[in-house]
Amino acid sequence: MVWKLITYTELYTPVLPYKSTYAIGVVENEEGVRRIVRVDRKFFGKLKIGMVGDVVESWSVFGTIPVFMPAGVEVSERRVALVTGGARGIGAAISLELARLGYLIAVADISRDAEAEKTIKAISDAGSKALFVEMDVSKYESVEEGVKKVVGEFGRVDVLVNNAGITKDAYLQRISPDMWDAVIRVNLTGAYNCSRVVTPYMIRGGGGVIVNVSSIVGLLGNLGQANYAASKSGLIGLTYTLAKELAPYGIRVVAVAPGFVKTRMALAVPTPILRDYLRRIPIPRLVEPEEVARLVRHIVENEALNGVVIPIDLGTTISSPKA
Amino acid sequence: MEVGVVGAYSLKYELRSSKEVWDMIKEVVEGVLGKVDKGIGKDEIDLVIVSNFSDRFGGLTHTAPLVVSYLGLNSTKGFRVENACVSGGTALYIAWNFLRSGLAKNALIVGFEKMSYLPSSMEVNEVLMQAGHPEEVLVGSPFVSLYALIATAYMSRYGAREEDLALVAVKNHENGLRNPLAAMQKKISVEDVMKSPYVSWPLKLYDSSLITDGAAALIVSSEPRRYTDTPVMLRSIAMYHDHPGVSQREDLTALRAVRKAGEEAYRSAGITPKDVDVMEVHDAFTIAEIIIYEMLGLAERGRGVELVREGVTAFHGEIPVNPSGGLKSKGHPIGATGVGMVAEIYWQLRGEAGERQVPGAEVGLVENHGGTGATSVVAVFSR
Repeated sequence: MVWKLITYTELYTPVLPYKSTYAIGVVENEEGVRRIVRVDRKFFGKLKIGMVGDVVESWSVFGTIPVFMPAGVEVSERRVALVTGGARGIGAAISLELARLGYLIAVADISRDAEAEKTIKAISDAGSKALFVEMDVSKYESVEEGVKKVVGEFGRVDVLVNNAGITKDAYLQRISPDMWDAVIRVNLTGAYNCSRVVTPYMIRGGGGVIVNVSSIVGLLGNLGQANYAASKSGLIGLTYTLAKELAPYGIRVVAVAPGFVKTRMALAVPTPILRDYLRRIPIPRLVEPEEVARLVRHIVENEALNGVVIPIDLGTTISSPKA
Repeated sequence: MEVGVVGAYSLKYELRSSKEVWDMIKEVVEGVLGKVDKGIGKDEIDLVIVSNFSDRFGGLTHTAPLVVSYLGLNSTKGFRVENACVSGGTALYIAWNFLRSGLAKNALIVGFEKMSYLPSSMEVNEVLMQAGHPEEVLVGSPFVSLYALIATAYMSRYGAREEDLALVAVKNHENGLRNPLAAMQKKISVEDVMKSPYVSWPLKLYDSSLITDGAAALIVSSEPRRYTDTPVMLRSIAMYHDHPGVSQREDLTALRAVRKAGEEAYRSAGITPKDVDVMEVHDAFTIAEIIIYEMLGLAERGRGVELVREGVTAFHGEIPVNPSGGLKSKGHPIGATGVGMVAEIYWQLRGEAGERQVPGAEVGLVENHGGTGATSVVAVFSR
């Protein structure tokens, strides 16, 4: 039976009990029979009156829902990931991993240096395409401009990895207001800025994934890192909240909480402290950036993950006393 | 037998009222009793009809005895009516029939809804959605999406643009500025509407009426001149239905119930659309007002947008539509909506509408509908 779409709408206002966005259409067959149907949100922006297709019955707990499947509509366009702090460290590893998964990568970083060039080359060597976006995540206008550039070039944003982060470690009395603000602005406000700017594009695009790179320090605290730990804990609250708010729009929000990762940031920690840390955790080594990247890839691919903080820490969170 | 409105009262509609519904009800009951020119005794009210869509919007059912109790517990009979967004129009329709048949002499109609009672628009839309066709509910089609299906079909057939629909919102918000009862007194431009986010493409936030709290009351009498020298006569009232589901309708861009109810109301009142001086119509979404123009004979099919484009239905136009600000700017507290529309026409025809008074208005019309127009009540009033 061939069904023809005679009118449609893209619903961006989720309604209970479905808590989801989708398109709704009225279809008609050759005999003039009409039905109201749902259309998957992956067809947002692609529906047209007169389109033909099939109607399949889709089971749900709330009842069996008629779903229209338009025939011959190409939805396999390449997906886009925006990785902040994507030029180096964990960000570069994530950029490369998602590139291997077939994503076009927007590498957002503060400046285009030799490391950024290396990452961009690795992405194109992996068969994908990279766009470097000079972005200061702590500045809203800079994020707006950068995201506009990404959408202008790649047409959409499907994955946002809030990875950009800095440290300015000291004990409380030595953390100046500037040191406090700088860390919060980049690590936490930066994630807010990027999430807020990117979300409307994700909604129109039919959903997406936001991965916040938190830290075990955000779960456990750490001597000399009040500002950094507060920012990483803040990311966890942001993750939980946005996971609730954005789920109806098809946007999942998940945080990863790595232990010490073999990057410039961790290696800047004084060696005696790092050695002492390793002696106290079950697997005494540093996490590889690629290991974090593989977890991020899994989060992107596994649609059941939402609103959780996943430690990747070699057992730090189960070590006693807490690392 | 003649039937006339002898009193009207309305709370200011609000996006989030701090009042409980029982206090809202009490306030409008006392308010309307105090507004009858020559006074009316509580014991003279022999019929109470309460218009309320859902107990999830206020947490209260069985409200007629509450009203009768406020009246002093005499022999008054009462009940609640629910007919989706046309609960208020339906209450008037029933009152008219009771009064005309001599079963009652004076009816008190109370409409209320406290939509902010639910914590999120996701839940509000679920409750409203349940007034649709069962298949629409199953698919998960809130009202905005059903009107969007109508809008898409209309725009595709007649070449109307989103900017055209926006003009309705701009007009009604401009009208609302003159109405102290309006929930959202805010001037907006076509650009504002166009920039507002899509809720269900092609309809945007500013194409949509307001989720509102409010209450209103009327007293309708079969001996109107006993209570005032200037009653507003209910000349005719008609109710019609359409298939509840948008997909069931032969013409997706028409509102059959509105057309049929309009035709009958005009015929019974012995008038034509040209005789009407002021209208309050059910602009739940901007597209609805455009189609209502066409259904009520103000414009040819597909040419409704021209009326708003040319200012014909503007406040200073030939036939002002929704001088109150309509559901768009005044607000849409479901059970109160139809009652409030009649109150507005009552004030307009008595010359009591203040800054929003349509000069010299003698004949007024109310079009109140439920669902996506599955039930419509059209009433004609005159001085």
